Amino acid sequence: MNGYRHINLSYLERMSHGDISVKKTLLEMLLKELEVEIPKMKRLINRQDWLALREASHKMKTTLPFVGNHTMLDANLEIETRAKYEERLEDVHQYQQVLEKLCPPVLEELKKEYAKLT
Amino acid sequence: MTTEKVISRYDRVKKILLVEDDSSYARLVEILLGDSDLIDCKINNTPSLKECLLALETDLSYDAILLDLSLPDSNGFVTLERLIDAFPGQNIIVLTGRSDKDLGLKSVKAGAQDFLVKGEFDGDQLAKSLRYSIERNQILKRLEETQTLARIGNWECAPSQYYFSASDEVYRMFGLNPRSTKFTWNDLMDADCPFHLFLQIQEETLEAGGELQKELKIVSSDQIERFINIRCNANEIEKDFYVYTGVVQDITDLKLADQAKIKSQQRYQDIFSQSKDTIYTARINGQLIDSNRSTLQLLGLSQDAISQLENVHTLFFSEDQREQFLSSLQHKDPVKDFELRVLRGDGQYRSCLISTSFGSNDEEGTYNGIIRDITERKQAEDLRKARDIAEQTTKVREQVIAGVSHDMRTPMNAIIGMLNLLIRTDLNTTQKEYITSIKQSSKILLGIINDILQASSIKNNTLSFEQERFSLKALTKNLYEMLEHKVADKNVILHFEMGEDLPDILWGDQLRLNQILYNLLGNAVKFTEKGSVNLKVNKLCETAEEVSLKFSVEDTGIGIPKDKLDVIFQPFTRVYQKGKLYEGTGLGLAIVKNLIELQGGSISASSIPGHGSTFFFELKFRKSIQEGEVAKNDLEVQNEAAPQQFISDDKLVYKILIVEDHKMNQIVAQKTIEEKWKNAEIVIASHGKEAVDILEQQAFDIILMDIQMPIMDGIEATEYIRDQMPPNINNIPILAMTAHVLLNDDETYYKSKGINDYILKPFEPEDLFNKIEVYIKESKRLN
Repeated sequence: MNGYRHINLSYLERMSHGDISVKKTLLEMLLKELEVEIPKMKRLINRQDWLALREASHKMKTTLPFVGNHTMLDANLEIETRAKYEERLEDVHQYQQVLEKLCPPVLEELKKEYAKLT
Repeated sequence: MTTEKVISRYDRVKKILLVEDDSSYARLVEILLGDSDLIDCKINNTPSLKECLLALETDLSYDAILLDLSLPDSNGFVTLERLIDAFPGQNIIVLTGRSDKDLGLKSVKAGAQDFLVKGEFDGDQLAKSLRYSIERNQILKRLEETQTLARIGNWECAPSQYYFSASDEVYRMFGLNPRSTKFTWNDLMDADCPFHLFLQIQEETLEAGGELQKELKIVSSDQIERFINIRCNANEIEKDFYVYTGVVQDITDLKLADQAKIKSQQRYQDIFSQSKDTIYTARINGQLIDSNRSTLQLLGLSQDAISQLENVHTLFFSEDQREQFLSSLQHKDPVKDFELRVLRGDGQYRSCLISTSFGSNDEEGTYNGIIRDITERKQAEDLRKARDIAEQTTKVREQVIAGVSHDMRTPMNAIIGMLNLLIRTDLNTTQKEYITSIKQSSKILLGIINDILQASSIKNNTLSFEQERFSLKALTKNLYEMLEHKVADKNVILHFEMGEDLPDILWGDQLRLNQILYNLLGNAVKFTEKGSVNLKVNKLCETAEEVSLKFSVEDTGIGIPKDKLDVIFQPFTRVYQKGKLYEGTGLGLAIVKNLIELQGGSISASSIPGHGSTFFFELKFRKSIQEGEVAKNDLEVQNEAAPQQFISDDKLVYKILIVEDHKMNQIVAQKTIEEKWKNAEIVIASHGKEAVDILEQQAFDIILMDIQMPIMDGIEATEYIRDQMPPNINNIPILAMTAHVLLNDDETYYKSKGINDYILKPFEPEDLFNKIEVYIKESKRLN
């Protein structure tokens, strides 16, 4: 949609209710959160701090619908579930890598969208 | 033997009690004994019987008593009798006058050791008499002790002289006190006398040739049963005149031990013969020595066949097992629960356990074996294991299905949400049709997912039922409206028929009842292309507290084949008819059945293929006690039925507290609410503690509460608000806004903490608006 491969901002736009300044604010927050939270999740996995990881992925669960990338959304859900029940943790790294891999192109596209508004 | 040597044997000074009232004679006795080399003694003289008895009361260690029968306080033979009565067993030598020799003899017969005639003995004779009496008395005492220890007594009887005597031990065996009871010949003649048997045995002894030994059971005077072994010898002293002598031995302990042994052997014999286990004794080479009946059953062989077996081990063990088993036997190592497969005569194998032992008295090279047949147990265990694996597999499968469904629900909600957004954008007619179609399919898919999750909840017993007030009329009205559009495209009439005497307000789980009816009616509509779908509700019975209702859902659809009626309530059952498989998981009716049965009701169905089906179910509800009360759903229906009564959105001034730590969610929630209610007053708290602080300053119409937050989470904050805050605050409706995917247990948990309802994030604006409106209106009505 709108030439983007990795993001779908329809939910964000819907929730902005046509208010450009709100959309801009939400985009700013998205950029900031993704840049901080995705690497943080990696650190938490390395530390095997499953409680903190669960909290981080739970927070990300309400952030990612604004990005509209279902692969990231699914990967994050897998991480949250594993961290919550502390089961199948051997796969957590793999899902984190999905987030890590998709994060740069997502950020790039979000920045493009943000640039359009400024 | 020299005098010194004789004395040395008696080196202890003997204590003599001299009972003599004549002091000069007493002095004479002292001088005589003092001069004698045969005894060294110390004499204590008492001049009367009374003083004699007093002396014995304080000291019973006298070696001998020299007793003059003529005393101031007692004279004659009675003196001796009184002394013996008072102190039996004493060593007494009687001193008599020259004219009283007969009295002396009588005294010896009565129990005195000897008698001496005054004036006819010198010092040595007196000393000798004392020495002999002392020694004899000691021998008699030792004999008595020996008899007591051996529980043996002796007896003697001379019928020609009317004489009978028995030792003290004989009396004790009969439970008698020998000091107080002495039987004479005359006593024996009495058939009731316990010693009468000594008379009877004399005749038997003569008949037996002069010697007899027999065992008898007697009941002693203290009513204890005793066993005695009695021996009797008949000695003919003159022709036809006999003296009978014998011994009696108490063999009670021996006899009781024998009886116990016999009983024990009998008990073991019973166990041996009646045991269901095979019990046997065999040589190490496999030759059977003894075996019980179960051995025949285990091996399936006759007794003859078993006795001809050369080596029973060949039937009990495979070759490898035999070597291992025999090695244990040869090392005298007992075997415990050694597993083996026994070969029966019919060629079948039985699974068994064997244990062995080596009895201390058993013949060398033999052992005892016990074999337990565990074939049935093993089969049951195998079955149980197989069942456990099957159950575990089913459980895992269900968990996987539930897990997958659970994970699918979130994206499905997102899909439907996105479709809701998309359908409001500028679309052409074709695009709108496509999206409508996708939305319908998505809703079906979501329904399937919800079915699976609910079936899983039922299976795991995590489903709970509410008890809330509701209006049956409102519930069915709502159902009618929901289904009306479904039948609109078909040539089907939807008809609801409610009994006239039905109570309107009931207590129960209205959501579950709605679900049951919607499922049954939805099925009826699905399978009916023309005709009608009818719901009938009638009262079955009623008490002061409860009412039983019968619900019938009747359709004129394709019907259900007779052979499928039994299985339609089983999970994943879908009836394939007329080349068509209708959509669904096949879980709907199974869920309905469970929901009804979990509430204590029952469901059944009847059908005529091609003509339609009817589903009946019965449920009990608590009746409402208060007249004229309004049910929760009734209010909702009233509200929905009268939208014109709503104040326009612009005029509504809701005051809403959003408690959310996520900035984006804060903005989105605020913006979304402001879009709907432009004048809404919104306050944002970043965590539960901040919310509580704000609530201490001002009240709100509703609180939107995130669950997972730092400092104080949504559950803690809700609990605080409900428990700690004043009445105008603690009853504010609280809607949880959570990204947690709720299951029944979570939902119940949230409600138990005071949360009224929940909205899943990312939320759909319409869902949020609806819930805000419902709860604010309900709250305002109650207040």
